[in-house]
Amino acid sequence: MYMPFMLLVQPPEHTAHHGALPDSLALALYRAMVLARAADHGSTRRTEAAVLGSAAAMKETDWVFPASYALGASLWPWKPARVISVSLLAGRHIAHAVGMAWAARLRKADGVALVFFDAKTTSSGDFHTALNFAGVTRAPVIAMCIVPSGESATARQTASDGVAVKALAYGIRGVRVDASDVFAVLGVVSEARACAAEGKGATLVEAVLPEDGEDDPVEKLRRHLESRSLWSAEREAGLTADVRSEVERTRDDPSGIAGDADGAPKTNAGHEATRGGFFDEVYAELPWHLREQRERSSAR
Amino acid sequence: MMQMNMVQAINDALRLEMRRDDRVIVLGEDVGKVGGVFRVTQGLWDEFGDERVIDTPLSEGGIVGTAIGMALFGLVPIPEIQFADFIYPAYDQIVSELAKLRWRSGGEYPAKMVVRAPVGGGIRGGLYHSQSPESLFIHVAGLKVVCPSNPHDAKGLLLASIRDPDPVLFFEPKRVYRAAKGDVPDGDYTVPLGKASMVREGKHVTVLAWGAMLYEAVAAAEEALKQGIECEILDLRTLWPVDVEAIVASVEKTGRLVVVHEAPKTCGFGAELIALVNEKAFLRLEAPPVRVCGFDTPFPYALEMDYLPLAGRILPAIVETASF
Repeated sequence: MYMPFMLLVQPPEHTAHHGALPDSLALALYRAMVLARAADHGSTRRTEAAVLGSAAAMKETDWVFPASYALGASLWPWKPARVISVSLLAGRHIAHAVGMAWAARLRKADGVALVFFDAKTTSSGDFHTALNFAGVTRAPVIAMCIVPSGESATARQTASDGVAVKALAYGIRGVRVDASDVFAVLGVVSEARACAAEGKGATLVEAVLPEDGEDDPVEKLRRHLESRSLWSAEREAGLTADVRSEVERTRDDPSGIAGDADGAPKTNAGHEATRGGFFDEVYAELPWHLREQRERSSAR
Repeated sequence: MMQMNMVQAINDALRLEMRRDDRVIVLGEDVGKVGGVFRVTQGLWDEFGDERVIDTPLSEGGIVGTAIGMALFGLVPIPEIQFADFIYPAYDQIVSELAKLRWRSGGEYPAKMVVRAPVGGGIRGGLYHSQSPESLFIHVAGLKVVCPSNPHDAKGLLLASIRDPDPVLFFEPKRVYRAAKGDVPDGDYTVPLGKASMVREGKHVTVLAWGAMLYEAVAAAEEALKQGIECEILDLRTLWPVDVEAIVASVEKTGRLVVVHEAPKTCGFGAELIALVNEKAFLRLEAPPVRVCGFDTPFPYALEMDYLPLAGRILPAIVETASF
C-alpha cells in the first residue's frame, strides 16, 4: 500500500520527547480524561485521548466543531478554544469548520478549526465536499476522524486502507495515530495545527481507537503517570471524589462549567424549559405568524 | 436616479454594500472574473479582488456549507447559486443547518447570509433552468424569502436582506433580469422586508403576484379593465414573512382573490396565501379564491409558454372570479 503522506506515531514509551512533557500538562490531561469519562453518555468511552489530546493542542483563537461524542473537548480546562454548537447530523459541520478556517485565512486572522467526526461519516458526500474545499482553499483546518480499530470497522464504509490515505486525493496532509495514546494525539494535532497556522493547509487525522480490553486510554495514561512517580492510589481516590462532585454540580447547574468563557453553550438541559420558549430565536425578532401562533398556543 | 435593468440594480446593491461593509463577500461558481452566469457580479472581482469575490468549486452544498462557517467567523457571505434549480444539493445545509443555527444555539450562533439564485422560466431554459422553488423554503422555519420584480425593489430589497439578521433566500426572476428597466436611486436606500407593494388600485378583484409574473398580472388587469373589471394588484416582494395585513386589507375591499405563481399549483405558495385569506377574511369573500399557476409537471422546454401562467390564462380567472 502506497501511503506517502502517512506519519506513523509511536506510543509514548518509544518516543523521546514525551518524557519532556511538563508534569502539569500530563496531570491536567489525565484529570480532563477522567472527567470526560465520568460525564460519558456511552458513545464517548475510549475516545478521551483522541478528543482531549486534540483539544489540548488548540489555542484560545481556535474553534472546535464537536461531534456528539466529542463534547469532552469543551471540558479542556485551560485553553478554551471556542466550541461551536453541535449538529447531530453526521458530517454537515465539516464544511462549517472549513468555511470558518477559510475565513480566518482570508482575513489573515489567527485561528485554526478542529472538527470531529467518525468513520461512518467518511461515506457521506459532506465529507468529500468539505475536504475538497479544504484542499482547494488551503483552509487551516484539522479534520479529526475517530475510527474504531480493526479492518471490519471501516470495511463497510470504504475500500481504502483506512481514512488517512484519502487525504492524498484532496491534496492535504493525512496522518494516522493511535487513539489510546494521548501524547501521540497531542503531538500529531500540535503538528497539524502548526502546519495550518503556517499556511500549509489542512490535515486529515485518522485516530484509531483501541480494541475492547486493550490499551484503554485513561488507564494507559495512569500507568504512564505512575511510571513517572506522578500518581498514586491516594491521588486517584482524591480525583475520583473531585470528579464525582464536579459532574453532580454541573448536572445541577450547567452554567458553571469551568473554563468555558467562550465555549460552553448557554442553553443547557437541566434548566426548566420556558413555556412557549421554542418560538424564540427562530428569527432575530418574532415575526407576525409566530406571534400569532404563540398567542394561540398553550403558552399564552 | 439612473435607468437600470435588474442585473445592473443588483450589481449596484452588491457593490454599494461591499464598499460600505468590509465583512460582505460574494462566493459561487464563476462569480469572480467571469462575473456570474448572468453577469450579475460583473466588475466586482476587479474592484474587490479574489478574497472578497470568490470562485468556488462546483458544489452547492460546499458553497453554502462553507458560507455558514464564514458567517460564524463574522463575515457576511452572499453565496450565488447559478440557477435555483441547482440549489437542492445545498438544501440540506440551508434547511438543517442555516435555518436552525440561531434556534439550536439559543441565539448564540446566528448565521446571517443572503443566498442569491435566479428563478423562473420563459428563457428557454428547459426543466433544469426554469423552476421556482420558493415554497420549499417558505415551509422551513428560520428562513426569509424575497423575490423582487423590478430594479428599484431589487436594489432596495437586496440591501435590506444583506443587513437583515436572519438568513434570506433572494430569488431573482431571470426572465425580467434585463427586460425590467426603471429608475433606481443613486446610493443607499432599502426597501423593507415584509412589505408588499400596491402596484395598481382597484375595487373588484385582488390579484397577488411577484417576480416575472407580476407583469403578466398587470397585462391581464389592463385587458380586464376593458371589460369594466378593476383589479387591485399587490406585488408581494417579500414572500416570507408575507405582508398579511396588505393582503387582508385588499381582499376585505374587493371580496375576490386571484393568486398567480409560476411554481406548480399543488402546495405552492398560493395555497398558503388562500388559506391565510380564508382564516382572516372568509366572511368578506364574494367568490372562491382562484390560483393561476404552473402545472404539476416538470417544467417543459418547447411548450414553456403553455406552462407559465401568462396573461392569457390570468384574464379568464379574473373575469370568472369577478362574475361569480
